[in-house]
Amino acid sequence: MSPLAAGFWGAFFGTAALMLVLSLAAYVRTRRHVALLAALSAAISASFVVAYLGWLPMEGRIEARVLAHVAILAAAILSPMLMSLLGLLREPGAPERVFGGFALLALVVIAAGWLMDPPEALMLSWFTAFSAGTVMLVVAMRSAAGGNRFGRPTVAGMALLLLSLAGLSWIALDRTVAWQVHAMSALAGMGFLSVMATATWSRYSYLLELSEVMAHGPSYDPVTRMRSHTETGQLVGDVFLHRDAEERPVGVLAVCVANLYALENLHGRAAFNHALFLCAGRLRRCVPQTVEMGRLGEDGFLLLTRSMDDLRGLEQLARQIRDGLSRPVSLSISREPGRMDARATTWMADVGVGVLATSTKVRPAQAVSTARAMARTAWSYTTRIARFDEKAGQIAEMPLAPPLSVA
Amino acid sequence: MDRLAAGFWGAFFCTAALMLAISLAAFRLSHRRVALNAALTAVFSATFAVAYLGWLPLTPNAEARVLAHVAVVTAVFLALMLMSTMGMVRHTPVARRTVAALLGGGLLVLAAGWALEATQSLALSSIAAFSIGAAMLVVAARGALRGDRAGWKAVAGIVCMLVAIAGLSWIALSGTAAWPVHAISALAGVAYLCVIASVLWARYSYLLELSEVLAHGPSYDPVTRMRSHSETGQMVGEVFFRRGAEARPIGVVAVSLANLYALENLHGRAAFNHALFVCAGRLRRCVPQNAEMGRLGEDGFLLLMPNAPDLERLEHLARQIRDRLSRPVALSTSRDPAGLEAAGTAWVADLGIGVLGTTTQVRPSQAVATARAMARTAWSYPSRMAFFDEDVGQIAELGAAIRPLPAGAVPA
Repeated sequence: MSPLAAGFWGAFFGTAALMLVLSLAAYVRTRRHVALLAALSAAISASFVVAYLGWLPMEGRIEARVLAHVAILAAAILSPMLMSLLGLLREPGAPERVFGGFALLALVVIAAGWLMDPPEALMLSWFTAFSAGTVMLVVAMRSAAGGNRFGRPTVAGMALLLLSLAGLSWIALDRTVAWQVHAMSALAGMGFLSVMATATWSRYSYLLELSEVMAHGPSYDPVTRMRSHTETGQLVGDVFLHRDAEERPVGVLAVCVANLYALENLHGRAAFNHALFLCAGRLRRCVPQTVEMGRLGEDGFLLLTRSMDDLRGLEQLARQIRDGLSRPVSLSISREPGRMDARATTWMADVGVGVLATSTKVRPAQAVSTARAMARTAWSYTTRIARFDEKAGQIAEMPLAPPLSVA
Repeated sequence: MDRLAAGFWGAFFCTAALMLAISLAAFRLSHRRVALNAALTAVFSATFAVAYLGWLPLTPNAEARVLAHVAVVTAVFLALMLMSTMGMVRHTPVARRTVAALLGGGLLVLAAGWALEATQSLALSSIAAFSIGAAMLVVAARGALRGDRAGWKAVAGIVCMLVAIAGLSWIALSGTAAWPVHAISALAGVAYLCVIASVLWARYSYLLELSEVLAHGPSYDPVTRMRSHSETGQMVGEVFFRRGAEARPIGVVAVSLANLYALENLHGRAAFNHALFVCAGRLRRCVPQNAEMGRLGEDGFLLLMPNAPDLERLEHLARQIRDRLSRPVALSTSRDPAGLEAAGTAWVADLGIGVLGTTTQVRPSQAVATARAMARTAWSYPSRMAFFDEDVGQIAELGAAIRPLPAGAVPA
């Protein structure tokens, strides 16, 4: 094999490996079966190529037998997979029919192949794979002419599959072909993999989008990706009014941002949303797992905890939140999506934090409104944190603490 | 070149080409800066590899000169790119000084190279490129130790880049053909490109998410990605009260879904949202460009056709919408993310369409309310379409005798 041919095949295997790794990573992250389909198609294509390039440690008759099996199996798995990925098998019953038809075809061809000599069996497998592929190509072309959105990509994918199959068969018959044949079949294989990857990606991103859409509703806030105000009320009820009605300590933290309203009036709703999104992200990063969070009204967040560790470190947590949220941000003030980073203004959240350590005996509504009022009071304090001073019996500023390590 | 080495370099160039193609596609869609960053990284890395593999048709002396320039230029550019990717190029004096130092150092090395012989200048440039990389490594490692989110990724990327540069320099200087060297440098290059691509992808998807979040508000419906009900009211007002206040014909089409409410009560909000999302997507695909569209109430859509054609064209559109929307959908009824693909229940939208050809002289709220009432009336017609019959002076079934409802569209 010439170095040029080797380079092209290297590119093909690189594509297949990338696709495999990416789809496995996607599967591990979100557990969508679509990702597994992509991994499967990459692996099947790569093993098909390995077999046809003659890299398996076998010779002559055995190789022909193996190649006969590989050819028909790859064609019978990849063709229906491409069609189903591209959404051509939407009608109820169609996937079963097509997959079943291909499985039956593969079985018949393999059984017939065992009745013949290895070279003849290989010929039969090739012939069947080609004719099945051609039939699918015609079907896809007809559906493309009928205005199916996915028709054209399917036609392209099937054509590339057939081209690659033809080139590889030639290579398998004659191991000394010119590098152009190698290059063409490798490029066709890469094209086929790209079509597969694009189809899988569009399906995958559709599913991601759909799962986000399905989360929308009264209990989900699309901007902060947290509980909405009403759902926060539910959460408060859950925490306070637990079944086993013993008295337990509860830590309530309210965070209120003073200058969100002014931001909306100055730069519009988009800037408001951007600021809220950033604040929610920062809050999520600096709050431990055991703390429950939700939106509180238009301009605030409520944090609740019942774990003893958090209760002890409640004031520490308040300081962390203050330091985390009050770092400056650069907000985009243009609504045009492509120019996100073009026009920007620097903004700093003007936060107030109210810290209230209470117990489940208190009425939940009272605890929440107290914490919120404390947070609003804290806007006028230098430390921006208000707590309930039990000795004096009133809301007081939290004393300055030794400076913390940078959060 | 050895066959195995050629294979590995093929994989590297294929990765670079894929990255270039994908980033160009992303560039066309949105967020130009990030996409451009990715494209430039791919192009620069590929150029560097081509030059260092000795594929340029040059004499040895000239080649060494060219390589010296390529090395410094790509090293400076990749360093700047890395800094901007990792968010280190903020407009602070320190950052500005760093950028200036990088550029100045690069120029200095190039100038010094011309005072030396070709091979010596190549060695100097390679050392300069390598030290820039090492400096970036130190910066990134410090950032990672301080808890920078992208820090360890940056460290991995720079290590891969250094390995690739070292391998390529060795290949260029000694002309070795041992395939393990080629394989290691090519794989390191692939890994470097993958790390950069993943960081840029994170940034790109963040920007996409952000632009979606920015759109939220009273005028945007997050489920259907259309105008919300209140914004639809604004849109109706704009279309009806346009400046050039002549009376123009206008087509109003209201679509109302009868069984959404039942769906919500049976399977919950998630199934409701899923159904609405699918219906909105189908509607968007079959409606012509010049039609204005928005949500109408909880369970409907409103379409306005300015410069409205005659009733026949509207009827054609309504029939298209009916056929498209009343195809069955498999809705998932579980909120579990992995269960999304498993079809939970089959659902067919039970829709009614009201078609009203009117003029801008009519009060808009009246026109919309009429169309909506007609859509609701149409639930009881076999053809599911209603229009105002001017001969009889009342609402009547549209296209009753022309074509029956397709077989699949009859709700169970």
